[in-house]
Amino acid sequence: MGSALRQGTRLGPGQLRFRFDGREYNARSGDTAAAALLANGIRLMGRSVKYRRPRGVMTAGLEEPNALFSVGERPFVIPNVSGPSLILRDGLVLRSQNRWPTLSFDVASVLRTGGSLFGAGFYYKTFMWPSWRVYEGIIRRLAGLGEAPGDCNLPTPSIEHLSCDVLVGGAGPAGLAAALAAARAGATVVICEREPVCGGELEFEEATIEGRPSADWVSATLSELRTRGVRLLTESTIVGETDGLLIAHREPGGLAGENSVYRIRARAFVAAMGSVEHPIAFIDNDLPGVMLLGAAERYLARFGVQVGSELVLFANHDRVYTAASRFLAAGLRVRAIVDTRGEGEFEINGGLSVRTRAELTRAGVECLSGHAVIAAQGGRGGVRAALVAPINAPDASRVIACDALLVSGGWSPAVHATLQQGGTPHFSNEISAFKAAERPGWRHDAGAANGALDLATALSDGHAAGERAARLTGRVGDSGSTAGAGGDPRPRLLPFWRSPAPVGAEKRQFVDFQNDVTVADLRQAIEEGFLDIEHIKRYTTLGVGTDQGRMGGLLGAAIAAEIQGTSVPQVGMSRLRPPYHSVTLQSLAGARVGGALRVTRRTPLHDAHATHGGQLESMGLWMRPRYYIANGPDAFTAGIAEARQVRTWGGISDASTLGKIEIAGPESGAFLDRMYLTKASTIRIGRSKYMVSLREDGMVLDDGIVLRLAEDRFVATTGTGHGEHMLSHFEYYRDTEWGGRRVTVTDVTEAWAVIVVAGPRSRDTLHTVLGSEWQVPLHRLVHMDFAAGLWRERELRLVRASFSGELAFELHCRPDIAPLLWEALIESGLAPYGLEALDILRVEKGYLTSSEMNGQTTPFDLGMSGLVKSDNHCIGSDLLDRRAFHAPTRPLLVGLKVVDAGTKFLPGAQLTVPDERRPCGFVTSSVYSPAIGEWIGLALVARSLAHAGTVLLARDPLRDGDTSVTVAPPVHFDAGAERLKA
Amino acid sequence: MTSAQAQRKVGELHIAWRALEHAVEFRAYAFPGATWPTGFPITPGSVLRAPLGRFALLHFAPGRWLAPEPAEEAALLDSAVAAGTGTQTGVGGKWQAITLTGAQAPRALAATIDLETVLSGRDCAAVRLFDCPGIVARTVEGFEVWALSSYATDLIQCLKRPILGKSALPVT
Repeated sequence: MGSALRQGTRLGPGQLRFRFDGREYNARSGDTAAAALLANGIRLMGRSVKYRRPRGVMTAGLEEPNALFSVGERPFVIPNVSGPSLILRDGLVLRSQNRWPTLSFDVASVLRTGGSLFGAGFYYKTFMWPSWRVYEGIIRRLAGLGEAPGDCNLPTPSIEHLSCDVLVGGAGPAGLAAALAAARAGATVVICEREPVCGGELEFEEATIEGRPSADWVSATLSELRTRGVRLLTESTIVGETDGLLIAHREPGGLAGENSVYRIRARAFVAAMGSVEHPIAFIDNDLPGVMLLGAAERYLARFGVQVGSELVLFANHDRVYTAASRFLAAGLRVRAIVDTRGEGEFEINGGLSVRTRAELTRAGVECLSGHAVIAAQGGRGGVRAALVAPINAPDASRVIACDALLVSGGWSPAVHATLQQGGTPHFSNEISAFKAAERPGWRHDAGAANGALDLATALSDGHAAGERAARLTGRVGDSGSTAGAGGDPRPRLLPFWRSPAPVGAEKRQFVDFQNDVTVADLRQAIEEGFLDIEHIKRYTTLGVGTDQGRMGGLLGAAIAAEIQGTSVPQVGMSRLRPPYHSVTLQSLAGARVGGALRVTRRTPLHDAHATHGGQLESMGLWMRPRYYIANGPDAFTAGIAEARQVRTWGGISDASTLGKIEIAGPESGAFLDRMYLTKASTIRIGRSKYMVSLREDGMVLDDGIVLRLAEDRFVATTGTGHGEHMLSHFEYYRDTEWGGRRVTVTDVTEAWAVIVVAGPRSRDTLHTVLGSEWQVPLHRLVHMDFAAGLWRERELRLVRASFSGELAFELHCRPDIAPLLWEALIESGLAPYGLEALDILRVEKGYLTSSEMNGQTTPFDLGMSGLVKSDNHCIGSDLLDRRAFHAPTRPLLVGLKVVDAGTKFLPGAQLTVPDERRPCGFVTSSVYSPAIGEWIGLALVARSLAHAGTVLLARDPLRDGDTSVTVAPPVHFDAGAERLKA
Repeated sequence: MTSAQAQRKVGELHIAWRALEHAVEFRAYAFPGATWPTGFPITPGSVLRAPLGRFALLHFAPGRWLAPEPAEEAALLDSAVAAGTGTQTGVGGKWQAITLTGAQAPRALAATIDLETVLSGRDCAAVRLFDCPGIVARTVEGFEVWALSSYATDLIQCLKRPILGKSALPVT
C-alpha cells in the first residue's frame, strides 16, 4: 500500500524521505523506521551477529533483536538503534549492521554454513592453534553489535530527580487504572510510558470500557490525570533501579541524542509495564517475514502497514483467532491458522475460539488444530511458505504458501525492572511464564505484568494496585471504582515451546535471535554439563547483551527444561541485568560530559594564571599552572627557565591549593599532639613547625606546617592532594576517639589564598609591595616564624617557610585580594613559576611529596628518624617499634645522580644492582637540575645499598632503557641551607 | 569568577552569585548536649532569618553553622562562644552565594538532587550538587546555594547545562 494511502493511529499527514543503506525511501510523519521499510516492501533489515543470517523485523518495540540500525553519517553515528522504536525525521540516514560489504551480499555469511563449528562455547575450544593472534584480527572485526560511534557530539542529556508517592510504570489499561486510583486517593503520581501514546493494546484492540469505546476512556482518563496533577512521562522506559531510585530513560523518537534520564524516588511503585510476546522455535524461524503476531497487529493499527498479503498464523492460544479476524477485516488473506492445541483442548478451555474458528473457516481460513509449523521456507528475500504438520505426526507435513508467518508462543510479563530490585521470579502455570514475586511493602504488579492478560482483569488489577499503593503512602481518599470492560478474551494458552525437528535441524531452530542461540546450542551446553540456567546463559550467550532474555529468556529456559527432562520452574530464569534497553553512557553522565567530565576546582588566581600564559592542567581536582608559556615552548624548557629564575632572582607561585584546617578550642594543642609525630602544643604563638602525621599502621600519611595563631587556635596545612583526607582524618578522631574534647576542626582551604614568594630578591620585593608597615616583620622573621596583619585592609599572614630551599615567604591572604597582590608582585619584577619548576626546586633540595610519602613508607624510610620522639604518643606511633620497620630490607630515601653526563632517568624506573635483575628499589622523582647541570632524582632503595657512591642501574625498558646512576644524599643543592636562612 | 556581583540569565533561569567575604562558621564542641542562646537554630536543617528574610544562621549539618554575612547574629555567636559551646572561625572567601531564580530554577537543581526529599521538613541541607559540596535552601523566588568557592565556577556551568542543551524538557 502506498505511503499516502495508509491509515494508522500514529500517522500524521506529512510526507518525508529517508535513506536506508544508500537508497532513498518515502515515509509518512509518525512512521517508525521499521514500519516505513515494511511499507516500502523491505523485509531484509539486518544480519545476525554470529552466523550473519538474513533477518527482518521481528517485533514492534524495544525488544527488537534484528532490525537494529546505525543512524547518522560518520563520524556522527549512533549504533544499535531499534528500528521499531525509531520515529523517522526527514532526511534521516540509516544503515544496516553486521554485514560487509552489503546487506544482500555479506561475505561473512559463509559462517552460517559452519553452524556446527561455531556452536555453543566455540570460543572456549577453538582458535587455540597455532595461536590466538592468527585469528584475533578477523574475530574482532566480526564481533560486536554494530560499530562503536565516533565523535557523536550528542547534545547534553538531561537528568532530572523526581519524587512522588506512587510511580506507575506503564500507561496501558492497568497502568492508567492504577494511576487514576492512586491520584483519586490523593497520592502524587508519576507515570512512565515507553510509547509516545498511552493505552497499550487498546490502540488496536476493539474494546469498550465503562460502556464507551476504549479510546474515549483513555482520553478521559488522561484528562482527569492531568487535572489531578499527575505527571506523565511518555517515551520513557524504566530501565533499572539503583540506589533505591528507579531510573527511567526517555528517548524522544527512539533516538539517543535528545534523551533524558529520570531518577525517581517513589514511596510506592506500581509495575504495569505489560508483557513481552515470545516466539516458538521451529526450523528457520528467523527468516525475514517471520514476525510476532502482536507486532503485525501493531504495524497494521498504528501505521496501516500490512506485513504480508498472504498470512499463516501460528500460535498456542485464543488470541490468534481475534487477530485473524482483524487481519481479514483489513483486507489481508489469512491462509491458515496453525493452533498447537488439539480439538479436545479447545472444548476444555472454553468455546469462544471454537465459535470464532467456525466463522473464520467460513471466511476461507484453514484452521488447523493440534498442528505446528515445522519449518519456514524461503530465502534471503523472506519467507515463501510454511511447512505444517500434525504435532504427533511431523513427517506428514505439507506446504502452505505465504509471505508472512506470524507466530506467538505466549507472553512473558515485563519483570526486568521489578526483578532488578532484588525480587525472585516465580512460575505461573496460568500464563506459563515467570512473574515477579510480590514485594508488598513497596511494589504492586498489575495488568499483563502480573499475568492479567484480558482487559477486564487488567483494569481491576490496576485499580487495586493503585489503591493499595496510595494507601501505603498514607493517602486514604476515595479511589473510585474499577472500570468495567469488554474486549479480547483471555488467551487460554497451552504451553508449546518448539516444533518437532530432527536433532540435526535443531541448529536452525532459533531461541535467542540477537545472539544466534539455537536449540542445538542449548542441547550441546546441557550435554556438556552446563545444567544451571546461569551456566547455560554464559556458555551459549542466551539472553546476554542488550537482549537480556527479553525475547528468548523464557523460551530458552523452557527448552532447556525439556532437554533436561525437568520443569520450567526448576530450570528458572537467568539474572536480568539492567538497563532494560540500550542507554548511552552519555545519558547517565548528564551534565558531566565533554569539558565538564569531572569536577574542577579553581584557585582565586585562576584567571590571573590564564592572563599570564599559565598552562593549566588538572592536578587532582585542581586546575594548576604547570608552566608559563613566556618562559618556554614546553614544560621541560619553561620549567628549567623558571627554576633558574627563582634561584638567581626570585619568583612567585600559587599554593592556594594547599589544604588548610583551622583547629580551635582550649584543647586544640593536645588534640594536635595526637595527630602529629611531634608536639604542636609546644609551638609558640607566632611560630610554625614542620609536622608529619602517621596512619594508624605507622606509615607516613602527610606532612605540612602548623601555625599557632593563638593559645587556643592553630592552622594546619596539608598537601594539595591530602586536604579532604586530612580533614576527614581530623574530624573522625575529633568526633569518635576524642569526642569529649573541647576542640573544633574547620576547613579553611578556600578562605585563604597562598602566594609563595621565593628567591634571593623575595624580601626586598615584598618590602616594596607590602609597604613599610611590614618592614619589621620581613626582617625579623626567621625560618618558620610568621606575622599577621592587614594589607589593603584585609587580613594577611606572612609565613617564613620554603619549599624551594630559597629565602621564601608564604603570603596567606583572603581570596578577594589575592589577584591584587599577585599583580603587584609581578609588577615589582617577580615572574610566576609553575609546578614544573616547583618540582625541580624541591627535588634539588630533597623535599618530599606524595611520590615519596606513598602510603608504604615509614618516618625511618624517609629519613625522618629525628622527628620520632618518645615523649609524644600520636596515632601510629605505637607501631613504629615494629621490628619489621627496621629490617635491612626496608627502603631508605636517597638521592640519585647519573653516572654518565647527558643521560637521564625517569620516575618509576626500577633500580637494580648492575649485574642483577631483582629490583632493589625504584625512582620516586627525577628532574633535570639547572643548578647541578645533570639529571638528579630521589629514590627508595634497600638500606643495604643506600650508601653514597653505590652504582645502580635504573631500568626503564618501556621508555628510556637503562641508565647507570649513583646513590647520593637526598639533598642535592645547598646542603647547609645557607640560602634558606639568608 | 570575581567576587563582584555577577548575573546570568539562561532561558527562564537566573543565576547570580557573589563571594561571601566575611562569612563565619560556628562549630560546637558537642552536639547535641549544650545549652544554646535563645534564637539559635538548634535543629539541624533549621535556619535563623533576619527580619528582612536574609539568611542569618544556617544549621547546615549537626553542630555546624554558617553565618553567611554576619550582622546582628554576630552577637548571638559571641554569646555561644562565651557560653563555652564551641568556636567560631572566620571563613571569608570560602563560600560563594549562588541565587537561582526563574521558572527553571527547580529544574536546574533537580538535575542533580531530589529537591523535594532533600528539603523535606528542613530549611537548608548540606548537599553535593554535581559533585560540588554546598548548602541549599529555598527562597521565596527560588533557591539559595552556598558553594565552596573553588567549586563555584564548575557548579554554575553545570547548573546551566541542562537548560542550555537541546534536551527536551519533560512532558508535564
